[in-house]
Amino acid sequence: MEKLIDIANRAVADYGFRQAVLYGAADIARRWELTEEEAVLLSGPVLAELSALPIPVQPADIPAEQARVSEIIKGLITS
Amino acid sequence: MTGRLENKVAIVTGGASGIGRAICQRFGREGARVVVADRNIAGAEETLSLMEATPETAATVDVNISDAFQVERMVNEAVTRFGRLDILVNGAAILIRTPPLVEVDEVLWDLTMETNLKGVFLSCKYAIPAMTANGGGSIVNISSMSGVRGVGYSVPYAVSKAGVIHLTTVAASQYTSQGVRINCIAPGGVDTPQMRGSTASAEAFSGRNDGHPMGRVGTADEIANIVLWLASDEASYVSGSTYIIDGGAWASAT
Repeated sequence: MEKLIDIANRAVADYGFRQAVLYGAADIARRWELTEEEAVLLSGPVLAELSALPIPVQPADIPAEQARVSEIIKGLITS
Repeated sequence: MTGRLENKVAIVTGGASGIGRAICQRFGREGARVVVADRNIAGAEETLSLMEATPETAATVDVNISDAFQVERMVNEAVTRFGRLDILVNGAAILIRTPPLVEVDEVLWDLTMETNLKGVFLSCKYAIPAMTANGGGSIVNISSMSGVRGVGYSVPYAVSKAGVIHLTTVAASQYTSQGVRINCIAPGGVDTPQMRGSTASAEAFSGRNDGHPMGRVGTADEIANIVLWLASDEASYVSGSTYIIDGGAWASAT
């Protein structure tokens, strides 16, 4: 779960990394050695949250946005 | 003047947004048939729409340029669809901000290098034979001022872009004699989604214009202008060169 939250936090804070996740989630999952469940979450609900972030400027409150996405991930992880 | 790329076939990687999109649009207006290549296929389709392209004049290809199989397929699709390949613009890249070198994660280094440097290598590797098969062509690699100066906001990005400049030199030394001109541009600040996305707010973005000798950053269309020239036969005696396009910012830096 920590790796997935780390990816999400980076993607919230960094537009370039967010692009890498949005258009290469499977590649990111492989590089970060995510579990199968984490990879599914990344390419599903986490990607949906990242897609909804403001473009092309950064979120107004990055820490608050990171906390919000992290809570969503914690709520989705079953193991 | 239009028609400067009449009868040419071009691949533009990173064509889904920013500088790549502007290049696709400009190439289309100048008569080229364009393959808009990107991982962001929705963005690539949007570029096609902005170009008012038809299936006879442009196409999209979903490609991860760090994957040799996909890059080879991209080149083959261009040749199969349009009959030849004359121009390759290597515009696809990622910019991930990093802390200073000692603290950079290896995974971010690899991700950036594989996209920004290996991607250019692979695209050249598969495009050059397709070009020489028809007597030659033109490759324009898009580096960055980060690859010229020691800009520290992303260590792997800066190093990868420096690599693109040297790859250009080496490749030009090997293939200019076979009719393939290979050049590079190094833009400074340009108003793109990437640059705006790395800025806290629209107000902060406006602040980036302060102190610039021209009072503003560049536009994607201004970058597309020089890429057009390098890609066209007007630059027939130009190969192995890197052009800094920064509105005089570097020259004016103290």
